[in-house]
Amino acid sequence: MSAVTLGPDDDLELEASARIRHRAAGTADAAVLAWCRWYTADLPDEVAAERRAELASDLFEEREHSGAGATGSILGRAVRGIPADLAWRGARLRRAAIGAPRGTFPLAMPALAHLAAIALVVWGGFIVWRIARSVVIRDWHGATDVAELSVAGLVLALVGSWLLVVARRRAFAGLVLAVAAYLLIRFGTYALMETSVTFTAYFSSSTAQMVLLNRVATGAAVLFFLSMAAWWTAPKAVEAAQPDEASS
Amino acid sequence: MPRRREGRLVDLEVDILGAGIELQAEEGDFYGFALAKRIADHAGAATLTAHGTLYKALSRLAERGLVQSEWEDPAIAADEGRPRRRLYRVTGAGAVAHRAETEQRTAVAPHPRTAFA
Repeated sequence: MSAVTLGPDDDLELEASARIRHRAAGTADAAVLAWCRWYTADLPDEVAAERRAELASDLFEEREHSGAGATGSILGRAVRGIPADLAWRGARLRRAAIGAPRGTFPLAMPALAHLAAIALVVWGGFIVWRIARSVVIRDWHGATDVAELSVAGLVLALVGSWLLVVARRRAFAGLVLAVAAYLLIRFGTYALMETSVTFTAYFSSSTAQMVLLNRVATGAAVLFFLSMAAWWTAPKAVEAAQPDEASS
Repeated sequence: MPRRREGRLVDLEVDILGAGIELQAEEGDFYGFALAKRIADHAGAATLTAHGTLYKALSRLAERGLVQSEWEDPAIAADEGRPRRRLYRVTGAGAVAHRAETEQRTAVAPHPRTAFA
């Protein structure tokens, strides 16, 4: 067996190896590898690099064996393997959590962040849908910049949610989501007022309370995402806690 | 997925160890796709084991010490213009576990009447 044992920097070499594609590889191979990159995104670097390299090798060998005719088999194998991929990912995350120092919350903090990001995206989607509907039926009387800032907020919320998946980008994701939260809650509420008779009536009858609520909600959401960014700015020991992950 | 009984192997693990022992005897070691192909050939199946299922099972067997793995020398993969293979070998413990499991499965079950004899 002409083989080597992985050294500390070999995950980079494995990542490079995983980028080699067979000449017959197509979009199916790219989709399968993209799925793999997604479910390994927040795993320790060595574990992620090994899984990606192993899958890349498998795809290459299947293409070498069956050529262009392997597309159906590759897609079928990937789809049938999704439950096992997710179970494996869960087991790896739980193992990382067991080895993590006290107070780092390696499972709870990302889960909370994902939940908040999803809530923000849902809120943003609702606001933009209301604006779009009002524009289509020619019922939009609000300021253009309120609509534009709401759309920008939704785009930022989607980008932030995507960045949140990758562990090393979470601090930046927190900053992006903080800006998104400011735009979607501060201006989104005003956009909602322009598209809902009920909301407008309620706002008119309790203006001071609604303004206060808007500012408190905006401040709380921005503070939450900024805290998240600060939490992940300091290097956590989660990744360093299991140096022998790759050997199993 | 079938529930695992203590100390026993599930069907896929038996297939992996069996095919792995064969490939190892021929090539010295084996890698994921070759293993999936051999398992499918044995079963006469048209489809190969899913990626996630296969590599999760290999990871589980490695944790139990039934297989071990090393990464192929990068120079060999570079010469052949392909990604590096993760090379597996069935360990001694893996061969023993496979033999024991196969024997247990092939042992003739006692006739129901003998239980009351």
